[in-house]
Amino acid sequence: MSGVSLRDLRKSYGALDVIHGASLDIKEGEFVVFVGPSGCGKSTMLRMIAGLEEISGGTVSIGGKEMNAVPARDRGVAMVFQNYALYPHMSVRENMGFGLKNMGFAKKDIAERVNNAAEILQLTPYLDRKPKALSGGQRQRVAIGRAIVREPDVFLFDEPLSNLDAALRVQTRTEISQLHARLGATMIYVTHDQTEALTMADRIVVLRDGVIEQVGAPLDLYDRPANLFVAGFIGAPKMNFLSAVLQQVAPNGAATAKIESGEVIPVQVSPAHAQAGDKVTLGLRPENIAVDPAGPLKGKVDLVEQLGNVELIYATLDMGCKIVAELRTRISPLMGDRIAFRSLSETIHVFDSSGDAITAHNVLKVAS
Amino acid sequence: MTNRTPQRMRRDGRAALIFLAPFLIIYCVFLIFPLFKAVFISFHDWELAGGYREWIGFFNYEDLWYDDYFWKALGNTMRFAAMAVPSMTILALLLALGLHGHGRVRAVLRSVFFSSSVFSVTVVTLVWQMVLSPDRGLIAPIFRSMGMEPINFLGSVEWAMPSLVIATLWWGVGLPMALFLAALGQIPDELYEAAELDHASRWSTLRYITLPGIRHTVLLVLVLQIVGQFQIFGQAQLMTKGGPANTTLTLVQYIYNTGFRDWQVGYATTIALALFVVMAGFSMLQLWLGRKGDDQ
Amino acid sequence: MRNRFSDRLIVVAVALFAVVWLIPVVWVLVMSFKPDEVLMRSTAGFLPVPFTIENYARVMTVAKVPNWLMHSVIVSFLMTFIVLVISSMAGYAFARLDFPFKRPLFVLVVAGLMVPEQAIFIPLHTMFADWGMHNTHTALITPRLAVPIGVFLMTQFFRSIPRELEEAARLDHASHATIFLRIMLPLSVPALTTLGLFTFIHGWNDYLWPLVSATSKDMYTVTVGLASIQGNFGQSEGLGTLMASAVFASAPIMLLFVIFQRFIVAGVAMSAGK
Repeated sequence: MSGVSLRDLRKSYGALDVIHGASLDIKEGEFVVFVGPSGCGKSTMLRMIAGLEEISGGTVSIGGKEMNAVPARDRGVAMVFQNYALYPHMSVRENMGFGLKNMGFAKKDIAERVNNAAEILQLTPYLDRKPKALSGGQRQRVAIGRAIVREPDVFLFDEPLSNLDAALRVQTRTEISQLHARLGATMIYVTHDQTEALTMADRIVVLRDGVIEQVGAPLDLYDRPANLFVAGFIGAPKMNFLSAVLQQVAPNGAATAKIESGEVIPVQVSPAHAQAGDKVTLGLRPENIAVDPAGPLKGKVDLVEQLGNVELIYATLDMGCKIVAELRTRISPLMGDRIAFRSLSETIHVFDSSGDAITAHNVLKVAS
Repeated sequence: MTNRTPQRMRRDGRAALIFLAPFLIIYCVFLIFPLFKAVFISFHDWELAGGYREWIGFFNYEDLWYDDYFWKALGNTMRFAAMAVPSMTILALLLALGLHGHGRVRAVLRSVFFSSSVFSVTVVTLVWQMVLSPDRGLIAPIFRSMGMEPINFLGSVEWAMPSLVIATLWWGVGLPMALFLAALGQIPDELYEAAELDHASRWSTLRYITLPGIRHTVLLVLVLQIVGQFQIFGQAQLMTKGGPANTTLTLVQYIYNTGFRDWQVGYATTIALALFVVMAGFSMLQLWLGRKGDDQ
Repeated sequence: MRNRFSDRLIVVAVALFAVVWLIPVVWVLVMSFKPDEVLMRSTAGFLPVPFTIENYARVMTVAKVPNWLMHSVIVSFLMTFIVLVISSMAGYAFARLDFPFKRPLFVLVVAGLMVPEQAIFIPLHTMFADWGMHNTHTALITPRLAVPIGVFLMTQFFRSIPRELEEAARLDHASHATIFLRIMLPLSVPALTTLGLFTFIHGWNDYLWPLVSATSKDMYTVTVGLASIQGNFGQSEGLGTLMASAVFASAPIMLLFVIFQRFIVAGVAMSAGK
């Protein structure tokens, strides 16, 4: 088993750069999720690690050895493809054993490993079926099984759940997590779904336009997004953004921000990066907003969504921007009702005009 | 997305060489080289046997220009194509329209009309010589029953060419029919259902949905037929021998006669190259039409 | 649902036309079972009375038809096999490998589609004459192997196979040879069947090239052989025997058609579909 290092990894198609120099260290046994909107280069990065895509610049190392010139088959990686890429003319057994057969394993060993993997994935009854005769979830498990039998150092997953229905996706998600716990192998997982990233990852790598925006544990990213993009991408419903101007900044970071409607909201900022008069964007997570008739954020209800455990209130503030609040209590306002919100001040994120976070907890963390 | 960096190319290059070599060698030796050799031969007075060859420059091409037989053969070939191509296309289209769809009967009938395509030209011409024979044929008794003298189809100046067309239709309608059937199958059922809800008649459905839907295939079939029918040889050679009075002498037949009956290989090759140029023109037309179709 | 009646009417009309279509074949078949003496007097009638299989017996024993048939079988089979091998190999390279000059090479191959057989059969004839190889199976087969359409079809087909399958195989330690033999070829059975059938039928019915290359009566293919005996319109061999020869010569190809007709029509759709 081995870790994976990317050093200033670049990829370009002709004049078009898709990855602009990514560096990252993935520890042995770690479960890392690459997440980002489509076209951000996450799959390209995965395919470069796999050796399916040529590297335009920088290096990929697996287990400390540079892999740039090593063909895909010799990198000790296994990959689960989005469309599974099962060989349609082979049975499940043959599909899973194909790699071992090519590597020259004895028939007996192949059978043993395939049977073990089938056991783990509950595929034993289907071993002699063709992929055509399997359900989507079963095909998915065969694709995983094909990776397992190889006992690779690194597992690569390329959006493996995107062809499954919602219920199956949740189930398979847990299965992959359990598999990781059981095998302890390094796993790199690509998805555009931030829920998958939050639920499965040891560490999340957020990508945008071929640039790594932030790397961190799921809750780090959720609680301390480094910039507007990460803040907006991680978490559902999305974080609310309000533009504001800083009024005054105390040396200890306590500050006030005036939003467009004229209301003033107390925030915590890093004093080194902020001064009065700066234009900033405030970020409020929907669950950190409370309904309060005396609150500073006044507006009109657009829509109410009942999810049972929570209630989502979509409103347009008088200053013009839209806002979502997630409430545990059922107040169920009607469409068009006047409403006012208050935020829990210690959980307000502040971003400077270039989009970087200047929220105080970031600073405090650095200091401690 | 393919990536063509030198590294991958180098790695694949050797494999590609191995995979391509068998075909490319055969292709160069038996297609490209002969084509150049044809040009080379056409500059010679070259006899089939005996090894007599003399460089005569463009003399063969000059000859060709003043050769009445060549122009006659070209004219005959064009006349044949002018009769065979439209009738073949229309027959194939009608059959495809009638046989398109589900059901055992239709499937069997499709096979029937395709089946005659698998016969060799010798069998086809044998069958049709018999059918059209004035004394032993299938049509002769009909004439007799009406008290008329049976027409000697293959021996008559007016009827010989149409007879070749009939035999060719019978032989060749399967492929264009199958092409039309494939195209008809591509038109989504929803279009027909929508047309029905719009109170379209059978005729307007055909006019506004079916025919526009297969117009690319109509073009394809037309060009394939022109190219194919220009190469007519077996039917004329075996059924009429180019007669009567050379009214069915076709280009390929003239090439064959010149080269292998009169042994004038150099001149025969010159005619063959002329045929190649004409047909390449039609192929270009096909490419051009195809590209134009893609733009739409 | 609508117009059931007129739909039926069309099918009935086409069916009647199909009967007319088949009459010549049935007639020839019937004649092949009638004695020559009867046919000398009259060729009329669609019932094989009096019935005889003597014509076929004569075809088998006296005429060279079985000999010609053997040449046709050997030539068509070998031609088909080799075309399938070299076309699929070249198609794989064009569809899936990256190498220098790939595009111009492919254009060169596709351009070969424009070269009609008639344009090059004379130079081919002189080549084989120089090599002293006329009247051999090799001469009948090799010029027919350089068919760009096969490479074109296989390239198109391989391109339609998901690239991920090949990438999965690469991660599964498969070499190019393994990918080609164990993944691509098994998935191409429909395309190979179609290409094989068309090559076989084409080879079987080839007329111009065997006519100029196989000039010895012992080396005729069935197509050329039949042409040689129909030249004098059955006078020498007898009409019944001539018909029996035709039926005998067409039987294998007809059998092939009946077995594989599904693939033939599907293949036309595929090659037209681009």
